[in-house]
Amino acid sequence: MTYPQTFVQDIIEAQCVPVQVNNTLDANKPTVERFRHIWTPDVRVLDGSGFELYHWNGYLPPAEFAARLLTGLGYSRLRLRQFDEAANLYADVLRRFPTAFAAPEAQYFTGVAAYRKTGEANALLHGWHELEKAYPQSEWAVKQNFD
Amino acid sequence: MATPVEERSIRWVTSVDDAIAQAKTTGKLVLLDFFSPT
Repeated sequence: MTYPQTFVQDIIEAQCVPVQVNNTLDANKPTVERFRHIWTPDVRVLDGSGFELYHWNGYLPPAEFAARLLTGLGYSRLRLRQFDEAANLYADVLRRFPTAFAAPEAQYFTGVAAYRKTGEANALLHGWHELEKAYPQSEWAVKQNFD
Repeated sequence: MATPVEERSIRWVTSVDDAIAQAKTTGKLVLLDFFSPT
């Protein structure tokens, strides 16, 4: 079980307004259709206007869930151009869950957040150098290649 | 007698639009979880 874990609850309480939708209830059909929901587990991050900023499907054990959620929240803050908040969330992933599946993505966007904040290419290259060093086999290490 | 420990649980909102409204006023983000009871 993922949600009973206190470290998962702490992240949700601090960062989120959590809402659950039972997809088997007739009363929830409009919500299922509104979000084009098709398969559970289905987890989304929305902003205060209801705009969807991040999404994933599939079960994750608690530590992987926490890392994925922090990474998704980081990406959401990044899309909202809240660069410091994004950087802090990604740093949390890399400090607490460095071996999680989501960690390479957090490292990739650490560089992006720094670049978007400062406009300095070195900030991006530093983040991506760290990615190449720490997660050379990851999909995100491939994605940073623009040769 | 041992004091019972109250189990913590997440306070889920049940309406997406209520959650969005709360996110707007608090600055938090909405965590939307679709589930099927097992």
